[in-house]
Amino acid sequence: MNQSDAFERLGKRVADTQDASFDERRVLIAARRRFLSRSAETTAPVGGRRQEVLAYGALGAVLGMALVGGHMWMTRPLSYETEQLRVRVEGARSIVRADRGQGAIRFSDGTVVWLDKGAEAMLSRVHDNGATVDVAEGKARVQVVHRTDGRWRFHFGPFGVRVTGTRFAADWQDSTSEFSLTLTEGSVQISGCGMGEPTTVSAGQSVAGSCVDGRASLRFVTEPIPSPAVSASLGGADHATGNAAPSSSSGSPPAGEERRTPRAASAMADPQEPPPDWEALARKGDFRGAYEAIEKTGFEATCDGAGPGTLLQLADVARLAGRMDRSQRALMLVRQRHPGTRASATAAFELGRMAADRGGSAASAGTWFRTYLQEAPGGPFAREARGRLLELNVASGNRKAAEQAAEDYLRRYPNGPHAVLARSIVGK
Amino acid sequence: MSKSPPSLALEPAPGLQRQREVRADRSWDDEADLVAAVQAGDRLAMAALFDRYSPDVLRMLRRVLGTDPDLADLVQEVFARVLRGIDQVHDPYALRGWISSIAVFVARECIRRRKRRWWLGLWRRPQDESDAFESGFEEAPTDWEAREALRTVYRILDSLSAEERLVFTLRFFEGMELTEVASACGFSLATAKRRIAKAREGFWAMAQHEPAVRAWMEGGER
Repeated sequence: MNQSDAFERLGKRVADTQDASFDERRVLIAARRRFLSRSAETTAPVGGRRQEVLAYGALGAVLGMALVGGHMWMTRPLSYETEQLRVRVEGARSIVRADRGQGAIRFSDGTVVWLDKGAEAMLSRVHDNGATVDVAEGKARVQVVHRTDGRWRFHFGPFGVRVTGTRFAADWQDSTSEFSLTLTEGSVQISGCGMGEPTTVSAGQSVAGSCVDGRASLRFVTEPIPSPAVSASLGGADHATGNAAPSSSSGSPPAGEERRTPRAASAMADPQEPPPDWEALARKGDFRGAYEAIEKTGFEATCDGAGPGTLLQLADVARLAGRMDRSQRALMLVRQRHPGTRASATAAFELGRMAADRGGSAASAGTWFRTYLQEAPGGPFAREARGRLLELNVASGNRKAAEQAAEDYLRRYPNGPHAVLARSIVGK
Repeated sequence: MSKSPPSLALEPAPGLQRQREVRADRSWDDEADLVAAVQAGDRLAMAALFDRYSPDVLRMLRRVLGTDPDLADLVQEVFARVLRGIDQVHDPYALRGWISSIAVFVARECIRRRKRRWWLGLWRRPQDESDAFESGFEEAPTDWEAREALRTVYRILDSLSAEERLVFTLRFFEGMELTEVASACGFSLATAKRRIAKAREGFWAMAQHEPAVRAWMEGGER
């Protein structure tokens, strides 16, 4: 076999195979969105004075958005904090280890990863809608808050676990190459270790197996894998079946967890106990707890008796708890039940913002922002809505519309948070 | 980059078809105009720059790195670097080559990062081929054997040095000429030749133990 010809043939097969199953557009759309949304910060390339102006402009934009109040949900990476974990930072990555006992990583969208004693994980690539968590060793329990555009990736040794909104516990023992996973809520797909087609696991199912010599051996097991971690991760209750968790030590929540998390606390509560006051919890900033309280009564039931202001509050709480679907539902109810009111216009703005920030359709976002401006041309979000429309036009590459939007914006708000962007469009 | 980019890989969001027509009427047909507009901070020009070169960048990264869940982030990183350095572009007609060299730089950093993690024992798998669904690959490709062979190819590449992997993949997978490979990697032609020879030797030896890869090299199926 002639080596040169062989490598040419190999190259062609590699390229053909890659291209045959690759959705280039999906990757490029994601990259483009990130690039354009961040270019104002990352470029600052154009000389000292202009650089300064852009920097102040960007700062102004951020402050402006923040001033729109608690309503604003800005596109930025999730923040997180760790509890009882040893943290080592290496560049953009954090390596966490549970040396002293159970620890947790809590993300700002409500997602929590608990690590059992001895477990080690690496946290990399924290996005505005998810993160990559590599568990190199040990047991982890995960509760991912559902979002339609979530980008959560978990790896346990050679196994990858794809999740959207779910709760599961998984264990990777590096020394024996053994893997197990029990799913309580939602569904996940497991791949890796030469498995080829991913294996889908649904709520209530468990899998166990190993990865030896690059070959996966996974099997479904009928009973949940007996791991103290599993039941603990569920906050003490089996949400898949509705059964209360056993009160034995194996069913106890992690030490201190019940005290720390309203979610766990509410899940452990006596079912006869009246639900806590969600509005009080929301006022304290405990949005997850507030949302749990709403769900205890029933989201639809709570919406049924709510006026427009309360519906907007419900939408806020759901959004801040990471439940975009519920938030959208509450906003749509405002639109349906209270047309022509200021609350209805505000709901239109919020729907536009959610569509723009949460990976929805740009056309839909634009429609909602325009609806807001028609219904409340001088409303409190008018400046932001016009700025957002400008951003959408720029992102779509529609030069003519972008220039019109930029000129309109500068005429109305020459010092507004989007003025720097607008000037860069019209060249003023 | 040796292959011409697709005309316009990016489709607008649903409902923006009308805007796309407007978009085709752009005024940066000339590279010099485009570079000047980007240097002036024109965001539309930045979008045009991205649209023009990102398909090439993505393809190059994919050929070098294989399936990678972070491809979108890496493409974004390439263009962030392009913007940071755009003021230093004095010959706009060399833009394509310059962007290629940045893509190579980002790919090299990515390979080294993986290797560092590997050697530190922080991670046993420097590349997660399994995470295909997050990296742009279709979720249900029909030819699983081909996917398996592809994984094996990149597993072999993992054992090469970053430089060897770069020159090998750019030469044979991306189809670059030797001079282009040398230029993109910042090597002299002699160095590029030497590294390709070494990479070929290493890859060849390991491929002998992998029937699926051998079959590809021999021009048949497994």
